[in-house]
Amino acid sequence: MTFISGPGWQQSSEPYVGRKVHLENDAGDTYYLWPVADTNWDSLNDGEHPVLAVGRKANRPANITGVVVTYDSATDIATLNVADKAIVRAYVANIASYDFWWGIGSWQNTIYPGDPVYVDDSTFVYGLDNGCTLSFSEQSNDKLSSLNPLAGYVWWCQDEFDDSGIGGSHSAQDINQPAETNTTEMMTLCVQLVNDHGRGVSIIT
Amino acid sequence: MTFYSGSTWQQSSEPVITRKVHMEDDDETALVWPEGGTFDTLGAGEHPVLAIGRSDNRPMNITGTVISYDSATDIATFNIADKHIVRAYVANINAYTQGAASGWQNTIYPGDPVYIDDSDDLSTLNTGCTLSFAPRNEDPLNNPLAGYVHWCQDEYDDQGVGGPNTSQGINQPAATDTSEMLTLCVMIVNDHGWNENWT
Repeated sequence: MTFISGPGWQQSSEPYVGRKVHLENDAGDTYYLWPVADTNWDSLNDGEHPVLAVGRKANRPANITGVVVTYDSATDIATLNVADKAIVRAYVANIASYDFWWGIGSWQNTIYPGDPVYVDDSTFVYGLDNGCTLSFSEQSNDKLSSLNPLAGYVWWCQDEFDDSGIGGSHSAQDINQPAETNTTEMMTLCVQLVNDHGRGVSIIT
Repeated sequence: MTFYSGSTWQQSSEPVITRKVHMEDDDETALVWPEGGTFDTLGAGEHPVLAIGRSDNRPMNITGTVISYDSATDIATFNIADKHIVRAYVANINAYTQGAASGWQNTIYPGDPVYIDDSDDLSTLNTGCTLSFAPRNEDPLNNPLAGYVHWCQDEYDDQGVGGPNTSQGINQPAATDTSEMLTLCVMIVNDHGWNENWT
């Protein structure tokens, strides 16, 4: 698959702060957007809207995060919406943690609105789908050194509110859920983006 | 030198959230820092990036850019909006050991985090320099995150103000492992968030 595309990616009309970002430096050896530039992931193309981290991986987790609005392949410049609290539809792996042997340690078996979501460049995420950039894990599978930048929080899509919202009243809230427990899956979820990379209490060492 | 001034300090037209701040409380507790002492004293026409609130609260301080200053009332008006971009003075120091600079950002990349730093090394370098790459100051106390290095309007390759450029143009230090003050564009944020270097 590819990064998320199509007409349903925007789930809020505001706020919007557009910022242009070069995909990489002049030498082509340092990327300013990730994990898009990683060879394992999809290449960014016009019409794709992944949630990505901005700035070098070496700065992780102190990276701004945002959603690609447009991409100009002629200049290699992406315009991201970096506004706090914009809501977008995104691909999210249901992985919640990795173990010390760099395998998957746990899964988010039930997804709740408000659950934090991180930009995750783990092999298990692209192995699942090369268009998936998010998971519930605050560390990548290289967990000894790699904290994941906070991307945002699971939110209701416009048509996932009970008795309210687009499509008329619904009989129940309708956040997508994994089909099975303790099994890796890629979910399509709405995420309210934030730019607070702040470390959670659980990972302050 | 003094705090940053001139006509090119603004590098984005939006967002703007203005807030008036008294420079100090009635009991003379400083509410904006670093300013005064070994640093420059704020004057009209100067636009430094500063921390708001007592330094005792560090690193949980809002950060913003001074838009205007009224010396009659000692009130500064800040833009505290997340993601506005300004040109600012930034020291290339990224670490201190026993009160002295011990690490330097020898190559500057867009997206590198920048902090409000009240260390003497900065004011010695330039009394108008309030930012560095160091998550802790010389004491060592946590520094509030000010924002991230970003391209100025004329620093994009093949795009932006001034027509097409042949390369990206982020300013770089002239020498390695040497303290320098750089003029860089910074995308301001208000996330004081913990850095992995803090404990």
